[in-house]
Amino acid sequence: MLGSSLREAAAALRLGQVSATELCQSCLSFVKETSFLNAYITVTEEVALKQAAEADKRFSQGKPLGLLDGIPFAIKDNFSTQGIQTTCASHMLKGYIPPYNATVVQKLFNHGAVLMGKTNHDEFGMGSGSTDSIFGPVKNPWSYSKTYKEKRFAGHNDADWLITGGSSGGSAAAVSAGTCYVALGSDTGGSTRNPACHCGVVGLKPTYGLVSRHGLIPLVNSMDVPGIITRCVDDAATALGVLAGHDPYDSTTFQNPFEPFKLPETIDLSKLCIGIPKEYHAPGMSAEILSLWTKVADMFEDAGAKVIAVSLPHTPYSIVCYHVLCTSEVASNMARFDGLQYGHRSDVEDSTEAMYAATRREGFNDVVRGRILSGNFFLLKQNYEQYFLKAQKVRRLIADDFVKVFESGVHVLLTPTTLGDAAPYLEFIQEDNRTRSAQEDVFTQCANMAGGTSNLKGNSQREVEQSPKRGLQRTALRGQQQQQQPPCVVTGYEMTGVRLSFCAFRNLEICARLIQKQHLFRCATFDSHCRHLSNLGQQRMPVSGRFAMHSCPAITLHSGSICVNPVRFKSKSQKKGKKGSSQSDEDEDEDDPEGASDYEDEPVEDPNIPKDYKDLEKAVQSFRYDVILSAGLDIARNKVEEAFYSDLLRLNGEKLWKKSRAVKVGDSLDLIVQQDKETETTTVMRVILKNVFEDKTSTEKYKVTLRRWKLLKLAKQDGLK
Amino acid sequence: MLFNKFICHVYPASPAFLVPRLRRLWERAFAGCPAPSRSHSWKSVVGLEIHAQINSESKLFSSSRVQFAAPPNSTVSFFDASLPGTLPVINRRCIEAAVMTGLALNCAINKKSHFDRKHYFYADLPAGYQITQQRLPIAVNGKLTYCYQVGNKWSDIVTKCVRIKQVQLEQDSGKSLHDDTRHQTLIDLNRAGVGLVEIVMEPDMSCGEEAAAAVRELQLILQALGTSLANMAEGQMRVDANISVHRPGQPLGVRTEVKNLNSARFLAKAIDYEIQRQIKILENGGTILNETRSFDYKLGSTIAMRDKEGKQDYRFMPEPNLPPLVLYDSNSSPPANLDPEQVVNIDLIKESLPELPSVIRERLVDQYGILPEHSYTLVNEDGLQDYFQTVVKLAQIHPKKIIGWLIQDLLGHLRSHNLTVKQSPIKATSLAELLTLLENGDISSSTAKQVFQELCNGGKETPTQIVKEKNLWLLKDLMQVEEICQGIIDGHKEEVAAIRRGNLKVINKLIGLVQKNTKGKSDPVLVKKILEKKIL
Repeated sequence: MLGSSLREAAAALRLGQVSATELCQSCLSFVKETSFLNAYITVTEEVALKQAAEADKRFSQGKPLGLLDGIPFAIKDNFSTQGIQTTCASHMLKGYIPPYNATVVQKLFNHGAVLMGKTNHDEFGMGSGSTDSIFGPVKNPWSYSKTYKEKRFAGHNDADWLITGGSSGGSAAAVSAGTCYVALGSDTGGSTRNPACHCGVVGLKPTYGLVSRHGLIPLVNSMDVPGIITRCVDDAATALGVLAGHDPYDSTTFQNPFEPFKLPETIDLSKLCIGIPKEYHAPGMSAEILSLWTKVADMFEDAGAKVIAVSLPHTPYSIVCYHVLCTSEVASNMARFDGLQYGHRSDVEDSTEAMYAATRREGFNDVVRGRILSGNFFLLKQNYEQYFLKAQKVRRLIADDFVKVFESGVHVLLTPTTLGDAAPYLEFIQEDNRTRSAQEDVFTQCANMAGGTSNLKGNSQREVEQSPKRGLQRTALRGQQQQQQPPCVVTGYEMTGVRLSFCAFRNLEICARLIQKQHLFRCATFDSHCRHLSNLGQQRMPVSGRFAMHSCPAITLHSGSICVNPVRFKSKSQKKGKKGSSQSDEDEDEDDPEGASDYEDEPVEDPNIPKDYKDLEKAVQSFRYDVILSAGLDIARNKVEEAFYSDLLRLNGEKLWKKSRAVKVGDSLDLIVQQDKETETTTVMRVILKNVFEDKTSTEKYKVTLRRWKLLKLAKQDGLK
Repeated sequence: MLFNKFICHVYPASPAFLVPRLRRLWERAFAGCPAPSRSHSWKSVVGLEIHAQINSESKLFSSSRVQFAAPPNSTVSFFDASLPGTLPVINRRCIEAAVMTGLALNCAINKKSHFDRKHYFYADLPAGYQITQQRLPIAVNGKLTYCYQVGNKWSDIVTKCVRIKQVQLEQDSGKSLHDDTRHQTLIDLNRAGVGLVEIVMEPDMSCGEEAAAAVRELQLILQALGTSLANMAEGQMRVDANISVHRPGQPLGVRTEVKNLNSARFLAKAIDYEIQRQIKILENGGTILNETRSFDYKLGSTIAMRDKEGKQDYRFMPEPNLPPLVLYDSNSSPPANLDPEQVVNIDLIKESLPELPSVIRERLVDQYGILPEHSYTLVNEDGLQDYFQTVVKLAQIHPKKIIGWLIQDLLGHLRSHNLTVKQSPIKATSLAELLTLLENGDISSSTAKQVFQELCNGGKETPTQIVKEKNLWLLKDLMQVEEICQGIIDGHKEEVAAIRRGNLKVINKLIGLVQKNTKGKSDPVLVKKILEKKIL
């Protein structure tokens, strides 16, 4: 039941196959089982059981409130919930209990939905990995899929789990893990679509103004939209039907009445014109995404749709302008957190100003403070015209780009969501939040920039993202939990990976059709292995579904042909996936030029542990350990400093007492990632200075060769004092 | 201090008047405020920013009630307390009030205006910013005409005009209450979010007297419109003044801002003090700091306020939660699908504007034949106009006769007892009754004054009752009056002789004696006739 779609669950509730309380309890127990994912900040068991009991009462009276009655849902912890702590994943609001419900929450309650809890995310929604929360990072449920673990570490290592994307990572993980049927996120620059993509679920960013923001603790008022995360497109449409519409508490919602709609069963693609914006062919896009993008476009074309290249010429400027506008509004919106009325208040009482400063320093993390600072800079009188006003003008041009394209007859744009797959946590955190946000939001924030402007009169824009890794999730987790060895079935599902976003600015009908196009994903549900097996061929198609089966079977592809792995498994893994777990270690870094050859002089204690290294040629400015370390690990200077202060650095196995020491060839530098007291082992990231080239580069830097070990498990006695 | 003379009677009993045909004469006759310095070499420039609380049921962006003197924090919504996630929803009444104000001040109304955020940290500003209209306000480019008296004489009146830069809607802040003994600051958010109309005037004034008169005229306009109660003592109208001095022909000097002036009298005092202070500093070779000062009414001087971390950069930003405010008029019809509740029509508001003070004054002059300066008093004195009209209606006597009683007797009494017209111990009906008795010849004018005093002292009876009770009826028995006169003549041989020698003035003394004898109940005209007959 937990793996089914919302509609199926609703039908089961109506038929009495399951009661709302049973459904709620099984979801709650599954929330507990998957608590290691860190998807939830607050689990609202009491509320949920009470609501489920009420739903059962209504079912027994034969008067359910609607499709959502009795359906478990979760919401991001930046939506206000009456009587339930709402933290924004920040110290600033830890313990804050709002006295009112956000409009979207109230609407779901009014339709009988059952609240499982509040989900984790980046502090105040600022981030794209769900890694910057005071409650710790969210782990992608797919990290625990049998196959992934087998691929990566032969099932032993827990450290290299994948991020969920963000900021609404907790919501995506909650849906992906099967702990609820629908979750709400918020989308400012891609915060719903990005994690949905990385977690293999459907993420919908409704048009700005279609769904009320009242009660959503704002990040950027002019771009925030409550987002919907579900397992299939039908469910997203159902949820949108409940949530959309004018709200007297939000002056920016459309006044026109909203009619909930149901997706049609079939759709005629031949009347559809699909635009491929060429500017989205951005540097840094992974080859698999690119080939998929092409492939899907081809499928549309084969199915009779008109696919044309279009241009959104101002797209490259979007991310920069987004940064200016975003930080400016952040600076303004965060001004209310002064510790006086609610939230954290510092003990410093020297003066009101000192109290403000201390409260805000203690309450916000670096990312939030950084954005507040830069936002205030952009808003200064002498900078306003140069930055804010300019960014606004460019924003207008970006919106106009979209309008022009849609006026030219294009109904839908087909774009990727992200540049690549979900990254492993340890890799992801090697860049700071700002860099990551800029990378991750590059495709998604344009829609927020355009959607925020009001000239898209009454038209509906929504984006649907999908990454049909679903189906695996539940079984994989079960497999892990129950120590079963699920049959190689699992590998079959893991293959897909269409991370594409559809933006439709036109009318509702077209939107409905669009969603319909992804209707297939309804098939890729969770109920049983058998079903998956039997339908394998169809489910793998990013564009097929019933429509495809009926009208153009030609595009039904064999599973292998569009196989792209969702996570870090590059081309080889496809083959491997099919073979299950038999293969193991040495495939990781394809871009390692030398391959797995010379290990001999490396201090590897245990020949069985996975080897994960890379030789790098770098230019460094000196032979100080921190320079070598940061060059080898590609981590920021301040991270090195941080590591120094938290005693996580070892030079040739010895603790460092000085902030900087000279090193020589052969020295090893370790950054401790994890220490396991039971097994007395330590996981480190190691850099070894292998070689120094004689001649300096033109920029007065030394050219060196570094050997970088991503993860090295060392016995405790190995000199790590 | 130089201007005390003027300051002392900001609203003298006989203030200015304003009639179009005479305006030019006065304007020619008077140049305005006297030069601010003996040396006549300094020019002072005064500009005002006036905040008027909108008289509305609920706040500008929330539905909590607006109520003066409610228990602390009892009228605070989630939005007013800036709980995260709350959004502003604008109050239609406040928009209409701002449009009315703009129209009454001859402004151009912007059919599309924007809201901005003005950021600063202060404990009684819970959001960390105030929603205001900085860049594109609701109304711009207006003017306000006002009059004031520059001398002691009735005719020493100047009519001036100040340009209105803009009229904007904005939120009021909460109130900080400092408990010095416990070193605490307590916040009352009742006022937070109440709608304000801010009226920004161009620096067209040059002294406190002008500023006070302009503020008074504005106050009357707002009260006539009903957009604000505009009671300065209750903080419903607050004035900030920007003041600078410079030599004629040279660029404007550095200005200071005097804040939180809560009466017109203090406004005038503060401005004039500040002008003198600046002149003194400059004449001694000093420089003026661009600072904010407050007025200490006990010392009668302005004091530099503790500077809130130097010069503020308010980091203005468009308010993203409010779409542009769009107004319509007869030429621009709203989109068909728009709820009529959402439409504010400028032309409809224009048609329904009530009579403004300047129009009322002209009407009073035309309708009642009173002097223009009297119309000024009637309108400017809160409630006096209604009082006057009631008396006129009930007493059926010439309004000119009533004016004297109102302005000299009634206002004189009220002023000396620090009362407003509404608090007057004599109701309009009583005065009308009294004046009717006088007009009908039932009592003498001195009796009338006597009864008036009695009423002022809190007499509960009606004038007729008092007259009856004390038997103050005019003596109409000719024989009796003649008898009394004869008695006086017989008792004052010397005076009679003097009169007979030709010193006719002495007869007045005899009249007075008769009056005294009759306790004022005799008709002086009659008494004079009898005395003349008997003596001459």
